[in-house]
Amino acid sequence: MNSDTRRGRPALGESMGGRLPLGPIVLGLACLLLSCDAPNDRVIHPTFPDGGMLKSADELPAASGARLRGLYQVTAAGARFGDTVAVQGTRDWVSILAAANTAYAAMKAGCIDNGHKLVLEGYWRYAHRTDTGLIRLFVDPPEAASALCAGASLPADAAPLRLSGAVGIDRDLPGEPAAFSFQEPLRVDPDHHTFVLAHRGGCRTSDDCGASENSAEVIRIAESLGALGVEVDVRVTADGVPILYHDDEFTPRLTRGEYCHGSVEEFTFAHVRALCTLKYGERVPTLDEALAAALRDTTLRGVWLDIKSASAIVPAVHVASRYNAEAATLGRAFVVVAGLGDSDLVDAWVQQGAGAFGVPCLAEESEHDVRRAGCLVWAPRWTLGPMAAQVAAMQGEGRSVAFWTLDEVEFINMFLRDSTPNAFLTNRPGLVFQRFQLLGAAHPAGVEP
Amino acid sequence: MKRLAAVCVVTALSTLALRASAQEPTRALEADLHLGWARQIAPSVDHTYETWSRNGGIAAHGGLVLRSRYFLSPFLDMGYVQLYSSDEEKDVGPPLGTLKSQNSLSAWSLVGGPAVDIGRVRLRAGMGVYRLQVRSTVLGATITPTELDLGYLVTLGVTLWRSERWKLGLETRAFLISEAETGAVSLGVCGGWDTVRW
Repeated sequence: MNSDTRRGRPALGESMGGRLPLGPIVLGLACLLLSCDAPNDRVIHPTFPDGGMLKSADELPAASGARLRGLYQVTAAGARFGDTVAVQGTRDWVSILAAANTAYAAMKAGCIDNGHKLVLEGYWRYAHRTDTGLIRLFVDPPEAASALCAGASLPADAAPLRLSGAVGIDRDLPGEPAAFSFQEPLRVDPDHHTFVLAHRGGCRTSDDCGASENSAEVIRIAESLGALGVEVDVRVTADGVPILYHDDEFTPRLTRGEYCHGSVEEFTFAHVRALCTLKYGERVPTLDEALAAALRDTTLRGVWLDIKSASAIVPAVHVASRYNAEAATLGRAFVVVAGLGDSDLVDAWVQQGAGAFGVPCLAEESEHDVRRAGCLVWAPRWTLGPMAAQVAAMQGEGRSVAFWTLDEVEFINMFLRDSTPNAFLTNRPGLVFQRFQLLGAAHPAGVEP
Repeated sequence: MKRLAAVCVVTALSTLALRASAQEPTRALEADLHLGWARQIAPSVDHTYETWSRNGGIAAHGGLVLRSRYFLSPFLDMGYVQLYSSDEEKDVGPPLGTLKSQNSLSAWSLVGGPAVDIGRVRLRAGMGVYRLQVRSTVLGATITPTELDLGYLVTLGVTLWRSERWKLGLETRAFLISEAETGAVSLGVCGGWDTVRW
């Protein structure tokens, strides 16, 4: 009997009706502590063993990718891709973009058999889940494939395009039939209308589309997801270097690094480089590096800079103006737009005279902000509703309207049905691309490059 | 062999604890002090660029426990733990090239929760705020950013010696700072003093 029982205080074991299970508690806590050291469950997009058929293929001429564009009927693999998909072809990618399962396929194209066969290889993915696998398709009819491989237009008398082949699951080689038949050209021309803006450079880190959010790497793959432009977040370091990063603090949510903790604005750029990498190992890019990637390594049509603080406005538009000038020199359809997320930033924009840099601006909060800052884009949050009259009024003044951030098919459908937006900012660019083609229309825009 | 040693240590400590379990008063406001050595256990550290490193360092904590007639005794604990220190040399590419850095990471804490005494063994579990403190020097510039997060603490202590108001023992602590995904354990001596008893 111990002192507690002598004094009338029940011993712990008695009060609990047994001994306290210390062992399991300590073990459980140890597991809890160690579990945070477990590797991230990344989605690894599979690749073909030994490089697949593309390894020995000739490159598809740059202009030919766009000739594959169109709305296609799904004739096999409908359970994955639904009834109708949009096919988007760019200089570097051919993508199948579906509404069903938020599915998309990102493929590279190559010519084999002396340019008589055109093969597409890559991976498919459900954007809102982790399902993925390989996909390999061939372009038919053969005369169309030969023409595309030669860089020529499609023969007028050729049968409609057909993409046929198979998909696999995870790393398994494709074995499940997949086929898509051309129905009609795209209804909203992606060469003239920037109607899909991908959030955080392409996707959020939590979506894991193949690279960390706000990285140069995710900007380089944004087109394959269906994006025509990207939105990135801009902050400035203690020594005035504009970098891409969303949160106000470096934390393990978005970064790696033993010492990568604390306010972004306390870090010098050298400290950022020395101490931090993004979640999947990429560098935290400067705005300069990010815009260089967007302009030179992709055919994206624009970048929306979500400027996070007043101190970042001038450094950001200084860099942006250089890239807008370079795009004009190159004859490239590309524009960088400075985004002002609230009225305080609009005040700062006006006070700092940032408009003098010639970079178009975008205001999110109200039409009044758009007008007083002389912005060309209004970007209201989607929770305010479709606001058809206000959208039309803005467009009547020669401005564009881009809603943020729409990811759900029901709401995308509603906004396209009830309003006339120029674009959506989204975490599901493939879904928005496909919906815009089926339900949307091209509208006058203030900042199309 | 290690298991046998661990069993011996636990048995010896238990014997001491039971022998010392005699005259603890029911109610008291007890001031505690813990001084030990900490080791970071999470996250795993990338050693690629290190030219020198030290995992862990001093752990110092002080606090109050209100012992009552009920088996849960509330406690408040403040502490400081050195988590990791290293010198690194990393090629970050142009325009900065190779950067040398001297870095350290530590944590300050303020945690509250219940304590349970079983004879001379005390188990505590609590939650509170942790402030991670970075100190880093690169290219002659030193920064000291901090990150404030929620964290969880568990301690297991055993009293080996006790007098009327004083006691001395060993204590092991483990904490996890949730959003920072940082955790550490420490082992050290602990002392207690009944400042007020009734």
